[in-house]
Amino acid sequence: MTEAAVTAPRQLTRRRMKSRPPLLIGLCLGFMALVLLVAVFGEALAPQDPSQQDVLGSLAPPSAEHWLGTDGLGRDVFSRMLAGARSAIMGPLVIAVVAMVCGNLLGLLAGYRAGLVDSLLMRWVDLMVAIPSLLIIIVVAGALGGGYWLAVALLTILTIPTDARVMRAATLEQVPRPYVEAAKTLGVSNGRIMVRHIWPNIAATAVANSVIIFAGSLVAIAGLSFLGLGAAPGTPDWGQMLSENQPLLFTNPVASIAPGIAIALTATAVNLIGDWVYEKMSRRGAAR
Amino acid sequence: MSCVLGVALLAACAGGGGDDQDPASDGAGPASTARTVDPGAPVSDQPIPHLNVGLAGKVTLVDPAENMESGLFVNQLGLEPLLRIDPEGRLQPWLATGWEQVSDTVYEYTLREGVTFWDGTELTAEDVKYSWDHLRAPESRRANYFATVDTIEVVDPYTVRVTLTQPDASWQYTPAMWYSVIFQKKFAEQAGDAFGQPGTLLVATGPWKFDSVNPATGMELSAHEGYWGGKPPVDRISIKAFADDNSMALALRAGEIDITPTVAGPTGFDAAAGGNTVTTVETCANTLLSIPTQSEPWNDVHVRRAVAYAINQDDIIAAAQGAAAGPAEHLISRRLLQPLGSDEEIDAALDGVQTYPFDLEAAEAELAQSSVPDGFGYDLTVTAASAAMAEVIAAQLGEIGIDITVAVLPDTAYYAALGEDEKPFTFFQTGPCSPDPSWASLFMDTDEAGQPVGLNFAEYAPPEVTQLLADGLLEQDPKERLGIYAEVLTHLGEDVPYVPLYAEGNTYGSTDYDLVEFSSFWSNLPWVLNLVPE
Repeated sequence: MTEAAVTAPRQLTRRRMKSRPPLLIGLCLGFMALVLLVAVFGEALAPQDPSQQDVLGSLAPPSAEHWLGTDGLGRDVFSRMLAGARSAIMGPLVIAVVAMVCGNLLGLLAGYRAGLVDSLLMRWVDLMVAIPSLLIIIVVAGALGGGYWLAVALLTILTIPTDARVMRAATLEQVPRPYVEAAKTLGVSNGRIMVRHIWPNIAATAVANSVIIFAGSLVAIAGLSFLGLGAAPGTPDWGQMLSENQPLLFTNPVASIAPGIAIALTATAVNLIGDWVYEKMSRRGAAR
Repeated sequence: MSCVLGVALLAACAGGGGDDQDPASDGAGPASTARTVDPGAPVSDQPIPHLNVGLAGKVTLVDPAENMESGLFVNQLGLEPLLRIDPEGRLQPWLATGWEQVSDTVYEYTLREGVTFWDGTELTAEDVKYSWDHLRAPESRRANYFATVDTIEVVDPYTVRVTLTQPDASWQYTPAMWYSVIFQKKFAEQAGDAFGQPGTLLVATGPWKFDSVNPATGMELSAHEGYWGGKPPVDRISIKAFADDNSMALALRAGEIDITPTVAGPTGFDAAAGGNTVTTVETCANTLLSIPTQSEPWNDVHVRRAVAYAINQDDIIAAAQGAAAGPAEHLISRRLLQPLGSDEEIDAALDGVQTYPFDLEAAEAELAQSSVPDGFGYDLTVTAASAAMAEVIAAQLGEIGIDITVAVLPDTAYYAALGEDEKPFTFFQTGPCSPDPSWASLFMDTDEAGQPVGLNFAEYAPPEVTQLLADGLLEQDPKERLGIYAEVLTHLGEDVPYVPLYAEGNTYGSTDYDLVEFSSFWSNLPWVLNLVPE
């Protein structure tokens, strides 16, 4: 048996191990899979109707019937947690996707075309970034009466410029590279160069940035719901529950702590997964 | 106590005595007993060097014509009225030793001699006249309470005469209420526009002097050594402002405050404060669901009756988390009628008044007779503080097919909505009331043309009810008045512009002290005089 024949399986195993996510990321992926599952099927999975009131049975501590007890109106907190996962995930997902699409396009355009287009876009970005986002959202949402989708729309609008700026910087780094020059020389259209050649090389940044936006939006929407500017009263929503159940901190503490933990864990898991995806994509990009 | 609407529009809370509740101590305690000591005297002589009082909200000024909400509760520590209302709703002496109704429209008050202001000068009838003229000036927030006053005259240094434009049976209680307190004329004239502001304050006769007001943090008071009732037992009082019940409860638990007279959510407060800390007493005020009777489909009485039948007060009371003291049957609570007759007479008068016990079948039957038999959708407009209760109401009305969306508005937007031509479907705590049933006419108020105005959020203005309310003020005989207000309630029972949700309670929180005579009228007088160590 040659030395190569002996070492080859070991190298293979090491490579396989490297390609596997670390334990922490595995836990995060598992947790997020669970959250997504609950977000899709939460209402069906809930052991009780999340909106069903039993006022005379309010403030019950955790029990076999109510795993996380009941809130001030006697609603099952565990069922509301499950039902609330949808609004926790849906809004941030919409914000991250829309911000990624719009921000990537604007960033690519500004970075690649440079000149007047870049100046105009970036001054707009400067203006938008200078606005204190959360304050503006609170004022506008407050003036317009609040609402979950209004909060999502406002956060999306205010997030796009940030994403565009990051993607512009990444694009600027790619533009002087030989493969871009080569594509230009071969007469490839600008649009194709941006989308088919440059974007794949900055995709790691794009994905990582979107994940950060997702996590930030999750916390921001929960915060707006906490302030009464997000989900409508009565809606099972983690931020709303945090606010509604705050006075119950000393009667059924689980009711107010559980949604807070869910928000924190989800945001943390998403951030860790984002970091891992970025590293993985960057490594793959560098190898290429 | 959380007077969602009441405090903002009417200010401090008051009510009648009777079936008091004390959830914390599970029975009637000192809170439901009357003062038995002389006017001005403390209930307990035990000296207290420093009392820390917690208050939800801020004290921004001390001018009794202007201050609102929390300021009213501390104002009464320094500012006093002429009379006291005991827990049974009877008038008792305070700054005035005597009072007489000279005719249907003329009242005379004899001042206590030897009462001194904080600067040592003596209280005279001039000060009373000046104070009341200030409070009834058109720009005063309290002007409506003096609406029937024609003239206020100084008969002699110790006698004030009030002449009304017409007989007004409710006036008798005005000199005992928080909105008729007395301050020094000389200081007010010197202060001018700065009167009552934090940098200027005022001079009055109460047992505690206002030393400083900080709108952000609270207020400092010290004992008035020359107080007419004897040296106050508490040397210094610090009023500390808190944002909410929870932070106030934690402060009580940590010993940062000794007592708070204004607990909004007793259940949560008690849990946060460590238990056995709250005492709740029923008041004469009811929380009301207000139905905009001029808007579709609420202009159909069957819809309103359906709503009344669909409301389950037991759930509403449970959802109030201790703030509700019991069920409420009528807009005019029984306590307000008690000065007009015995229990039997009141029972007989109310015998024919329609009530709406929880009955879903009856609710559905009423809705079936209405213009919207299949139900309809509508917004229930509230502030954030009332959102949970609104969800309960929405769920209850949902049972009969009325699809209610809870619309939560910021406080300022909410009060603006109440002022719009098209009134919202809402509910509110009525908070303060005088012991007279005419107080309830605020919610059926009309202008000279008979159009609903002021706090008449249901826009309920049938001419016959307006006439009855006017008759109720003009009539002096209690029995006749009882009949008049029973007739008003009969109309309200048939027309259902408001649905009573629960009887409001006043709650104080403390582990070290009780408040004697914590009746509906507690905040009319220097209530720290009623403090007793537990």
